[in-house]
Amino acid sequence: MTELVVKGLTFGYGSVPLLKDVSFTLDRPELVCVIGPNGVGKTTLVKCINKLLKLDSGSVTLDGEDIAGMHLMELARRMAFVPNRLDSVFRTSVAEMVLMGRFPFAQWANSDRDLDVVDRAMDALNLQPLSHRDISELSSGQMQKVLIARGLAQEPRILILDEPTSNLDVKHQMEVMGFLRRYAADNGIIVLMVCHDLNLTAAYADRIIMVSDGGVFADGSAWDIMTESNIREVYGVESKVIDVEGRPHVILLSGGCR
Amino acid sequence: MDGADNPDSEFRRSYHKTLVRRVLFIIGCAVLCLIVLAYSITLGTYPITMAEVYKVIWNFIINMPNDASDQWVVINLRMPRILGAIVCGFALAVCGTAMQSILKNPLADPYTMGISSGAGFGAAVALILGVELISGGGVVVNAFVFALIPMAVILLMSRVRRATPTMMILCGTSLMYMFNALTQLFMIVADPDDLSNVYSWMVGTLEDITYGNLPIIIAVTVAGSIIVQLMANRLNVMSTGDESARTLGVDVDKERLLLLILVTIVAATVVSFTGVIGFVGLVAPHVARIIVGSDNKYLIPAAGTFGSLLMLLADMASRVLADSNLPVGVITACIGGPVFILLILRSSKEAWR
Repeated sequence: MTELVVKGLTFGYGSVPLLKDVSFTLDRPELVCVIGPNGVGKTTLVKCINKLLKLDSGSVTLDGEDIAGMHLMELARRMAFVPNRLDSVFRTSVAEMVLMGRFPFAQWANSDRDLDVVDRAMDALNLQPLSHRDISELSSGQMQKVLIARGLAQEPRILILDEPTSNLDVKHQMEVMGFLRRYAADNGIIVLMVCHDLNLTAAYADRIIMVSDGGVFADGSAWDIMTESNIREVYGVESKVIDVEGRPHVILLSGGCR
Repeated sequence: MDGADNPDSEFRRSYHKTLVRRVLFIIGCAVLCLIVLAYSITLGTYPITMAEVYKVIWNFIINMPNDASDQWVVINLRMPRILGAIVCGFALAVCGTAMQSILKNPLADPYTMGISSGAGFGAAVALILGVELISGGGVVVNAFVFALIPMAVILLMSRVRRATPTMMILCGTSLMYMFNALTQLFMIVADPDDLSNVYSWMVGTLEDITYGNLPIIIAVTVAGSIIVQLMANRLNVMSTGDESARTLGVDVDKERLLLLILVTIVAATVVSFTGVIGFVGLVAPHVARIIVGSDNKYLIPAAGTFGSLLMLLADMASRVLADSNLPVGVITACIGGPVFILLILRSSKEAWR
């Protein structure tokens, strides 16, 4: 099992650190959600983990190897990143975009196995009918699915997603979340995602890392994290947490915004 | 996760379907190049018929004696120029394609990156001031060295801070203006003879291509194109954006500079022999993009062969339209411009955004 250890991660865009001394370990095949208010550094955190940003101090180690010393190609073979969106200047078809997920393994020609992997990723997200469509013609929700498929095509040990459900409607949100949780369990990989939706997180996450004020505020299972006091403390809103189908469900109280 | 290993999936079909159109376009351009070459070689002011031209070439190939002046005109005057058109068109188009993908900018080409203007300025320094950077190197060495200046500036810039593609292209473009202005300044003080030389250089000409310099151009073009072709997937990944490329394993900042240096050298080599031939580097990639799409694996050879065709046609037109020397650069821009605009208007899908 792959192990990702984040230790004392500190990062700031200017002189003031945005993230201070963040530490946690991921070592189980599960869906881990990072939640927290706007601007707290959730996306920054995942970008530090996949080397898009350079840490000010601390370390991120993947199976005992510090990613700072790893080649990007080596990292890309083990860790995939699904951005929130993508701006492509030139025309690219859905098939071509998903196929790019094989780049870390096939820099020149695509083998039959590459095509198989892509085929499966496209199936998994029901993208087959869109294969030859141009990505500029897609809705933002469809585009997010294409990017997820590209991430799957990398066959990563760790899949990191930046708000993969932000542009999806409720049904597709649930589909994608359910899929990611199953995918993690079935393939024995770690799925780490930034999520904004408390209830979606509560309903699907195996583990939740709640970020607040530059650090990990709480880290644990959905029932541990989704408490009325945590939500008050971190988001500054009053809420009521109820049990829906065995998972916590957050009801925000409209009069409760301090 | 069902339906795996399905040879008939939409994805598989889409993958193979486009392949046919792409290959057809490349082969079509190559065949047209041969046809235009065969016709173009028979054109000119020297009185010789089409049949005689082919006979001269055939005799030359099988090493049979020819009429000396016939052979001189066909083999030594017309042939290098036509071969030059093919190679230079190919090289400029490949450079343009690569630059567009590397910089994620549809306006990037050897001209807008200041390479051509740098070469023009270098030539003007040699022709007007008579200053040669390497004595005996003449116009070509000057042009080559000055053509590398924009790239050198970009490299320096990236030492100071992280240079984004937009910064690079703005830097190239401002140097282009600067070089052009300085060249204009020189032309004001130049005497009439030098002026006409500089002028013909500034609009590009294939006349100076001989068997002496053709091998260099071919060698650089072939080597450069092969490397760029091998990097095709990398270019695809790079054109999806820096973050996206990094997470797919491409060290974008470093590789962007390396690739730019490579294409700069290829483009600089070509323009230092031909002068500033604009437009091929910009138009050929876009026309090819409309037809074969943006996958660089196919786009590079497609744009290359189309660039060759464009140059051949422009060169032929310049020899048919005027028996004196109408520079090929004028033709490429005059014909290429309107055709390009028409294509943009007529293409059903946007090839770029």
